[in-house]
Amino acid sequence: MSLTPEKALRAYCAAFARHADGEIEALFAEDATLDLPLYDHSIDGKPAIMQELRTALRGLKDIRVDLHHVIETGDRAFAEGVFTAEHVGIPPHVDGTPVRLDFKFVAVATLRDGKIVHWREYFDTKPLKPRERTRLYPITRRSPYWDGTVEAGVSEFMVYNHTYFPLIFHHSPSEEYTALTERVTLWDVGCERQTELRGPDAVRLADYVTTRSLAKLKVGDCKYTLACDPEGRIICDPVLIHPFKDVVWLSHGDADLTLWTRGIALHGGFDVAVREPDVAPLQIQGPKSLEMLRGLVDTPLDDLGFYKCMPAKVAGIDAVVSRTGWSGGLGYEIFPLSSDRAMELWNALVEAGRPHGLMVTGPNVFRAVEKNVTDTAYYSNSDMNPYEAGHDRLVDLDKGKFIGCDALQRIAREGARRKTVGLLVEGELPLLEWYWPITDARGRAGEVRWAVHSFALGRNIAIAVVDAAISEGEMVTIKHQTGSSRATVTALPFV
Amino acid sequence: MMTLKSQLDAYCRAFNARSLDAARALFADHALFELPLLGQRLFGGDEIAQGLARIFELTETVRLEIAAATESDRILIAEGALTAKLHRDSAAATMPAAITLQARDGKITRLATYLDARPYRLWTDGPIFAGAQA
Repeated sequence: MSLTPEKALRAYCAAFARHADGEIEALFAEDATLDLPLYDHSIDGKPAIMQELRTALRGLKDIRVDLHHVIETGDRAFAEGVFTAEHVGIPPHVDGTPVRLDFKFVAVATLRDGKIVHWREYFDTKPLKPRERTRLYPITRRSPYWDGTVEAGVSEFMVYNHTYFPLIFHHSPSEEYTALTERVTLWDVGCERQTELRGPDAVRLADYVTTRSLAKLKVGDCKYTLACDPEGRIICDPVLIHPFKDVVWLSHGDADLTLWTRGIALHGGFDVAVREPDVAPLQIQGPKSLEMLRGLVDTPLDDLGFYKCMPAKVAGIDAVVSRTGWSGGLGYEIFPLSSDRAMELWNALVEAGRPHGLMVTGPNVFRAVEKNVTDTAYYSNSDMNPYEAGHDRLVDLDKGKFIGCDALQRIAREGARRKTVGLLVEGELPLLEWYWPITDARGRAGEVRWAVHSFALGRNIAIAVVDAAISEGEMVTIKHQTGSSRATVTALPFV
Repeated sequence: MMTLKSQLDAYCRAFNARSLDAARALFADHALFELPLLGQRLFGGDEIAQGLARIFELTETVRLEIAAATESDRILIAEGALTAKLHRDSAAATMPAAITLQARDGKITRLATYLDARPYRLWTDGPIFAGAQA
């Protein structure tokens, strides 16, 4: 049956509210065009339209579309209405108020032969933005890609290594998750600083400061490792990069690792210079990252193995490229050897990514938790040691003297009191603002350290450190700012 | 008796001429006016005039163009574009816009403009017409 414009418009809105993507698909002509304020360009063709709409639907729940006025004229229908929904993947506010996506709109549907050939909406995108920007102060450093992230629509930062870290952009969580898992994303991780060890004792000092053996380390190797304090507590979990002879970079998370390592070098008799170089990395993560980078990197990337690095020119700029990252999937990090041409590099990457649907985002915590590639930082690690963090394989107790080895030998001998587990959480969770306490029926304790919505599993998940006696399959109770939630202990990773 | 379309045309003429008096005269005493840039709904002649004054103050040029309009006996819905150059900006920005308009006894009772106001906001994303929020 051929639909009138008004019926088609109403059918689209009703189907959208019911998440009935199949019904929406049937309404569009193959060569239809979609124009929404959310996109800078028209979306052309039914497959592309449906891809965008399915991503949108995955990120929304409790959708309601109320049409207040509908007018039909010839082959077009005009409507004024109100759209209301809740975001999926953005926890409720601290008082339990859900993060909503409510706005008024005008929609115009144009039909040909009973199918929608053009759908256009008019609305202000401001109510769609998850959060306002934080206030900014000059006491905290900026990444050299600052202008690029502003241009890309950054809306919230965290402070990381005394540097603003762009985390939230004007996208929904489901859009960013789709871009990371199906296309490619660009992250400004200029805040991920390098502790550079340069000199004849660079590897020897790195071996002393970190927990894995470096006896077989070769130029071009990278290693995920740990730096611990003398009590065996994790300071941070850097990626150790050996890009050149007598040069080691500890590419670290939020910790004053350069000061720590420099102090050790000064008083430890190491023939080495320790400093924080002007090296601000970028991450290109996602299944299309290799394809995107091929034309930009002057050295073939295809043979670069997992946790390997190589010097290369990227868009004509001297850099080190490594096959590392925080996505748990295919991805690369680029470490330019200077920030002098930072925006030139950024712009070249954005341009190269355009044909591949690149999206500028922050690191995707949803995927990181699903893949269990989270990190640990000294000032918020709850005194965790590597065995409690599930990092047994990152400690080589037999490698010789290193910082923390005595304490870690004792812990290994006696057994860790806690362990890191996954939690499958029932129901909704608020935003994790600080670690939530956990108890079980026997009063054993723990705390939630990460909590997100899993788009892969369609439910909330968490990573917790718990009493070592708690086993997989047991139920625990999480206490949080809006009440409590039940959860089942499970193995990691989730996917 | 003015049609809804003629009232929209009159509003656009007044708006594009930056004529506060002409614009205000088109609205009923308790009219509702919505424009994303203002950050809220404006109610009544005084608030509408204040909001329009703030727009004219902050823009070097501003122009509303209507491309097509259709109406029932209750409401008009129009498509077009808003082009504005703020004093702080080096160039004007044009955004697609839709307008809905309702009227009674020859006066506009509700005029709502739908557009993505992103290019006109400060990068810090606050409403730029802070005066209208007072």
